[in-house]
Amino acid sequence: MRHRILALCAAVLSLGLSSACAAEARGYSFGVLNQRSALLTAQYWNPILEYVGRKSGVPLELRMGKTAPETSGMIGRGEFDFVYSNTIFIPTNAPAGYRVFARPIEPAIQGQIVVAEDSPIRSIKDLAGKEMGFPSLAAFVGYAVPMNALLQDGIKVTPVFAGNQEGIMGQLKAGRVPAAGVNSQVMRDFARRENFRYRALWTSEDYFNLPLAAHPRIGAKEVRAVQNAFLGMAADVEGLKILEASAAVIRQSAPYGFVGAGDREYENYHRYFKTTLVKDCDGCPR
Amino acid sequence: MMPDPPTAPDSARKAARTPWWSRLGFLARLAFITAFALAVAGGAMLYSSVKSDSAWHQANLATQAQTELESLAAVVAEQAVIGDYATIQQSLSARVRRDNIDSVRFADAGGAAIRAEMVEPARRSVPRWFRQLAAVDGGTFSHDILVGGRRYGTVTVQMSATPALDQTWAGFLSHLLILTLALGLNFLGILLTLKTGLRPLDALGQGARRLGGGDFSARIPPQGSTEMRATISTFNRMAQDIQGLLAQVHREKELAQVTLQSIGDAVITTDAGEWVTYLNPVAENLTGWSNAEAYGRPLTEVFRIINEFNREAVETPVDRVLREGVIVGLANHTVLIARDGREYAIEDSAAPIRDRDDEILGVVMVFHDVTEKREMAREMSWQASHDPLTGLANRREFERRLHQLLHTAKAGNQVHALIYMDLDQFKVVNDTCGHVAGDELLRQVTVLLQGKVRGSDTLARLGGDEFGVLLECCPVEKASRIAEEMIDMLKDFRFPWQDKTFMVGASIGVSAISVASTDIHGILSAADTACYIAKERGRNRVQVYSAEDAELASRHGEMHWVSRISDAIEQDAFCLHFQRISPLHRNGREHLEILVRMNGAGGEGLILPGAFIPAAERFGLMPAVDRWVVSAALSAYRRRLELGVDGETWAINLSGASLGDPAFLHFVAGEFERHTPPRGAICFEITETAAIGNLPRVAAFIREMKGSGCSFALDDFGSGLSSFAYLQNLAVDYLKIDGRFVKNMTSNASDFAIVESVNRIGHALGIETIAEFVENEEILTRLRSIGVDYAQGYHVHKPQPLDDLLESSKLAFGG
Repeated sequence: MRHRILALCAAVLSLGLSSACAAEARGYSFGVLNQRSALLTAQYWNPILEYVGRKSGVPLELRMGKTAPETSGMIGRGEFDFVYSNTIFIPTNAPAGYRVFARPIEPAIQGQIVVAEDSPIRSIKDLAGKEMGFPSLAAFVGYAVPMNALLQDGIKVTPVFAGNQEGIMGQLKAGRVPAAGVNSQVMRDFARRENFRYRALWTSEDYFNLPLAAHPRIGAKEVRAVQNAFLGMAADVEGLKILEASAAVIRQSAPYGFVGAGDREYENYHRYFKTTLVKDCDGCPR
Repeated sequence: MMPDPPTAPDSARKAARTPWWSRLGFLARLAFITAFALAVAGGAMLYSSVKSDSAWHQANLATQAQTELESLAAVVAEQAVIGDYATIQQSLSARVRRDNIDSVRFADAGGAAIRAEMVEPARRSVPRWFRQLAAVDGGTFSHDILVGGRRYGTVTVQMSATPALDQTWAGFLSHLLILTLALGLNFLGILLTLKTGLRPLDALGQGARRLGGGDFSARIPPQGSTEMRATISTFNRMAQDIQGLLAQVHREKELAQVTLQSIGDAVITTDAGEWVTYLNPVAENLTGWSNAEAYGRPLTEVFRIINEFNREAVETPVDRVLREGVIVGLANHTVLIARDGREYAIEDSAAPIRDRDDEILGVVMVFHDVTEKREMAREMSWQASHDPLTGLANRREFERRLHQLLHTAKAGNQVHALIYMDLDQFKVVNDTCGHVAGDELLRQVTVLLQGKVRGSDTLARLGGDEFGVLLECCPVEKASRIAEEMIDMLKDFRFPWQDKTFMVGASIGVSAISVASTDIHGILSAADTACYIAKERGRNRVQVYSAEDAELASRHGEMHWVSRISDAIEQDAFCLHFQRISPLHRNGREHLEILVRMNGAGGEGLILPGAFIPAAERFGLMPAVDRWVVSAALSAYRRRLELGVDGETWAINLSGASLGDPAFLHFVAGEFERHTPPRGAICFEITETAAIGNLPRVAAFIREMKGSGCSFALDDFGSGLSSFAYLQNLAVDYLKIDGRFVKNMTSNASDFAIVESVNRIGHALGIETIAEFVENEEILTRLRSIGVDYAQGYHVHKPQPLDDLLESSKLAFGG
């Protein structure tokens, strides 16, 4: 706890706000990888975290960095008590020791290389030499997995990073990039929300989406309480309403809620990082 | 004299009292009104505009603040979620660069705050008073940053009112400029219009001044606007009218002057201060003042008037006219004292002279000399109220003064007395020595009586030989003593005339004038009645009237017959009866006596003459009754003739009073002409007393009517102071022997002797005799035995209505 408070105070001092320490010490930090804008992320997670905190007795407070790499870095430095991120699996962050205890009830996701439906690009080979959009270097299924597939096929593209998944999907829709590496689920939600029609040129194997994990310093009791709260949320009327409301913010489709999970279900993440040709993704071995 | 015009100090005081507004010129007034109106309207408009702008800006600031907060919250929320306070600071700083925001502040959920302020606030060029007027406040507005139900902090915006105030101020200045411009243009327009428009007014002013200065030929050439031309034209017409009117007034004034100079009445005019302003020639003559001398003098100096009785100065009517503003006449008996002391009785009236505003300018007094008229009126008044023979008050005046005394008696409970005197021997003197002697007797008696009454008493001649005295504040007892003194004085008096000397006596009645008196007729009647009683009781004595006196009351009762008899004459309420007089020998002519009756009122039946004849004789009504009887009898006789009956002699009684009335003979003659009775048809019966009392007239009457075929009978012969000597002078045809002797002649030897003597004497003188009151056969037999010619009485015939006779003649002759 002392370490956590010191870390928070250090972050506050870096912003020049000396009076922030006492406020930051009020709950457990819940880091979320930057998949969307901070505002949407907060709109999605804050009701859920308030519910879970209340149910579990473990107050949770949303925290995230300005960008996904910054958030990933913070994960590597063990700055969050709980995280919702798949960057816990990258080699640089693995020492932090976050342990998976649950995941969204949604099906597994894939990395995809997509183009607009009316795009002349028909296969990934057509991408050779072209610019291609990616969320960020930190996006695992959005960058690391598709880029690894391109590299393994010997196709070289010029990556363009939008900073997050929403950003690159927006650029794809706007025609700024001819193709993009995306999280299949996020892409599907985006297309439904924005009424965007696309084609997938390539799709990876299944990867479970981002897991919920706890830092080893968090007591098993708190972790269990938090896990139980998340897992029972969909079965609770109030919890389900919150889940539906949050899903509506990002136009996420059902089913909602969380199921229990462990490190084993994310083994293919470890495997990827051992074999990948990609060198510049966050967490990728240099 | 016209009142002086206001002096200069008066004008100054008046001007000082005049409101400042009234002292402003037309231009200034117009400019003031316009400026005031525009200033008020403009001020209201500016105020309204400022308030409207301010309200708009205030609302706009709130809207801006809300918009600003919403947009700031959206910007800051992202940074607040990720804790990017540096970016928040940048965002805040970017906002305060806007000039309508003074400061922006962000406070996170823990209370930590970041603030950005306007480095150089906008310079405030708006005056303090305007800021207070506009009252635009920037205001502070806050907005919480809530994301997903979590509050990340609060953004607060302090809005600046400076730009809004600047804009409002600019708008105000702009409006003010427009208003000022409008005012200036308005003034300029007014100035130009009036300068041009008032030029004709100046000309009008000059024209008016010339007119006021007496130059009535002043005219102004038409100029200026249509309205001004019309006004100038009106002015010119007005000047022309005034010129014409003045000429007319001048002519009328001259005419009035000539009229005043010419009229026969004196005219004096004064001003309101009673100073003389004019006298016409007649007034000059009467007052002795010339117009020039009198001018400007007080009226009382020129017109001195006094009361002709008390010689005291009288208020001039001018005083009353000025005081009351009405037309006033002079008091009666006013005398004007001329300058040379001569006096003129004048009549006058005075009237106010008013101006158009009904203010009294002065007074005109008109008077004329009524000296002769007043003396004549005085003389006529004296004659109307006095007896010209004695100089005493006449009956009318006497009754007027009696009325006054009765009034004072009733009002003041005073007691006065009335003396009624009848000279006893006046008739003898008058008949014996003529009217001249009678008049002289009256004058001397008057002088005697005047010595017995006070100045306050009234001595009057009421009739031929009747005098009346009103004794003021004199009880009856004292009046009675005075009356006794008068009787004594007359007893001692001797009236010598030519070779004779007469003694004069008087009978006096006294009555009281008191609160108990009814009216003057009652008082006069009482005194007259008392006088009558005095005569009855032996003359030369005084009788005081007393209502309790039975005899007096009885006499007094006769008075009531006066009105009844008068009414009967007027209403034809008499009727005629007849009683036959039978001839006691064969060749005697048929006689009947006409008798008068009065129809009583309301079931009273017929009233016999014994009831009313004494009163009629006493109060001088017998001539009227006799006239009615003569007229009715002649009319009836004519009808009887018309029915064929002839040869009767109707006997009509005549009273002594009728015989003494010269007009009665004339009347009877006229009736004879009208009805033309045949000769011998009418016989007039005259009592012995009446015949002797009016012997000359009766003789003349008999003489005259015998010429018309009438015969005459001497009635009641033997009852009075019968003198056989009279029979020779009267030339009567019949003697009617008094019934008192006839009815007892069979039982009383002396009565029989008288009847026989009278019958014999009558026959000796060639006069036939008629016996009255023949009530039985025995009397009739005796009368016949002694040779009496006719018999009349109930035994012969009872009186019956004359109408019965006429009816019987109708039946007898089929009329």
